[in-house]
Amino acid sequence: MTFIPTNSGEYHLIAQIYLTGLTLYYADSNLSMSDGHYYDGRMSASALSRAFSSFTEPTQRQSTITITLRDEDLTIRQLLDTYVWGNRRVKLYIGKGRNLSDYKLEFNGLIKYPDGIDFDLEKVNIQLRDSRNSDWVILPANKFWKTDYPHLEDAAEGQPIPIAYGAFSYLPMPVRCIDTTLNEFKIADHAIVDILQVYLNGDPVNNTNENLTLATFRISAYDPASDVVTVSFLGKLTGYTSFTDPISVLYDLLDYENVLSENIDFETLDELAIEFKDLRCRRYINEEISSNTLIEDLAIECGFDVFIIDGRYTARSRCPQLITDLDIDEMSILTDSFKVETDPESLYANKINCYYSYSPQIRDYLLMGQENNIYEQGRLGQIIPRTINFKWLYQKSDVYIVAQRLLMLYSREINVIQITALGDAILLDLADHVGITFGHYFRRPMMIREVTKNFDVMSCTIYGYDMIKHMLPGYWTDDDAPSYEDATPEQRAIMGYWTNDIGEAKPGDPDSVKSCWW
Amino acid sequence: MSNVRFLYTHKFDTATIYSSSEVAGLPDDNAVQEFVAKKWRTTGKGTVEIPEWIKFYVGSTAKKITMLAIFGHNLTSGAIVKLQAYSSDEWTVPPAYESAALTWNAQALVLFLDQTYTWWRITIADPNNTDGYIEIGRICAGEYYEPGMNIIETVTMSLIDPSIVTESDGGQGYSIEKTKYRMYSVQFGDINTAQQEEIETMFRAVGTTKPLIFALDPGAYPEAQTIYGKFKGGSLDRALKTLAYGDCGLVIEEKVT
Repeated sequence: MTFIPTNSGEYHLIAQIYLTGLTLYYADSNLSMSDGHYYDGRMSASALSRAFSSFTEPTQRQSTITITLRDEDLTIRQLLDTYVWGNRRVKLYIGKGRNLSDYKLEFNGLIKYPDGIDFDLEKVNIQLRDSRNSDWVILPANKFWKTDYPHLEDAAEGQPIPIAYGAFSYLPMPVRCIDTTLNEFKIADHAIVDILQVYLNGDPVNNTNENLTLATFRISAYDPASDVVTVSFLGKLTGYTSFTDPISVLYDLLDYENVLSENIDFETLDELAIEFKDLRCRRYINEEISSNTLIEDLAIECGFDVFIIDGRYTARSRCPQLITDLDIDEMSILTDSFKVETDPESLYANKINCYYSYSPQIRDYLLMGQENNIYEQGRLGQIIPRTINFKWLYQKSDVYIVAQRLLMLYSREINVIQITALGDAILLDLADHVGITFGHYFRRPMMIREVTKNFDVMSCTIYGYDMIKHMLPGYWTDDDAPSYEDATPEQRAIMGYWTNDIGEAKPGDPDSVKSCWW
Repeated sequence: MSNVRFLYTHKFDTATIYSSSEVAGLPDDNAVQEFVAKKWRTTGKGTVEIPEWIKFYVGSTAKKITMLAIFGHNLTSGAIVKLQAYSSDEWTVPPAYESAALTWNAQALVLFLDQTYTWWRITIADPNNTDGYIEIGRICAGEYYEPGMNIIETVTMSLIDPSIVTESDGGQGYSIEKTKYRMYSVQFGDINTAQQEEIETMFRAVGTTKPLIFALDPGAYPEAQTIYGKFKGGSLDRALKTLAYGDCGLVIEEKVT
């Protein structure tokens, strides 16, 4: 389905409500559509809001929208009595005319339950929530039980069967004995790649009967009352490469959530996998945790956003770019809607503390590092630190790359631009890059962090970060690149230059001040 | 100029309905449903030899029909639409009554007649319809009411565009187009008590909630100036004068969706 807004059109918002055994069709106006259904024009809708939690928590907040169905004739209230509405799927489409091919799926969600429906004599309000809220699961999903393992060691009864991503070559993990008569142990609740070394009370021992599919092995002697068995191994390597990369983990977690493949944007995620293919992830999950939390941790550490668009999970790198999805200017920006705030979320930091290589055994991080922006600390006269706990990334090189990136991002106040736009802007979504030409901005790229769509007037209010001034410190610059004086404004924005001590690329010109790093 | 006419007794609305074809989600019952946008959609477009049709059995007692009006259609100007009537469900023989082809108009097809039957059928042939099907939003039939004293000449017809227009900072207009509709403001001047009561009877029957058809000039412009709508405003106001004569104003707002 394709929706192409024009300056003027007969726009409609239509809904399909999938009750068990009955599908209801409603719209903001009475419509007999091309699909052969009559869409009863009793519906109106609140604005649709989508947002990321914050830049440091780059996962999507629950999108919300409330549809209101006029009900003076009691039609809806009778249906409320007859059918189950809670947790039933609702699809909202936006488009124009009568042809469904001119419509776009805008929201694919569920009716909130409980407390999702209220009504009075004239109308019924139905709150919708996005599918994401129902997709999450608790991991690990399975536990050790004696009904499954009759000779399970007593201490393991009721404990989660771990999930282990990545390589635990130098960090042996404890394992549970599932058969004390055979001294058989189980490492994880899934197939693993290799068992490297088994340790009994810290000493290497030989193992037999390796079954990598079941992640089990045996040793010759074991006393559950006094012995501790640990093992170094290569876990669930689902990777795009020879090790576990973040997007492969994301795919696997979505699989645990039973997200249908049709609801995953493979094309975008596969592209992102290439960008993140060198990051190595590891996590030993032996305590119950929400899959949403696991995904959120992964996104924060690796620097991408996970969200749902058109009912499909997708992700986008937070790496600043000049490429824009849509350029907008005064021809579509609503009067008095332009506003810029300086670091409203107080994200500024000139020092990044990193804790990484988490050990489930000691429940703490084994390693710590830090990155400082000395210039910024001196300029400001204050050290403002931010601490990042890495639960997925474990290699020093990966952690420091991320820390340096974060330091560059946070070492200047982030400008947040807010505008309300008309026309094509209604198609914008989270993480899109918009080029703003307005006021003193010329094609200024901003990354959308929050979007609110008002279908009554087909306007879209976006809230995003200025990607040039505050997030783009400069790429590597070729030898033959133009000097600062010869460069275009765009080149000046994206390229790095040698500067004097106060950051001036053109000494004496305060407008040429760049971030001064080394 | 004929007097204005009102049709508010919709005798097809309670009839048993049959049709040559229908799309599952847009059945023939929609033809008598209040909303014009709720269509009856056929699977074909009909030919002169084998037209699409919709028929109404109004019950064992024959009913008099003096006005037929069709709204919300997708018919082309070449469409041939006829009304037939018979005392039984026998359409293979020439019907007892068959109208001439109704005059096409984009907003409405209107026929005035004076026939009394139990079975009524509308045949439609529109072979050049590019939609590939026939769609009708509302069929109304019944006995119209024509006041003895016509409205005074100061009639206001407003064509209303409820579209929403928002302008950008640069002055560019963005619009959500809505369907345009008409509104007639008419005034009966110095009408007697009997006619006032007739109008009150009509208003009590439909109020501001039920649809009616208003034909401003059924003689000269039966299609162009006939609308399907509702009385607008919450009251029927009469300015009473001496000898029980009075003035009475009505506002009828066209319902197009």
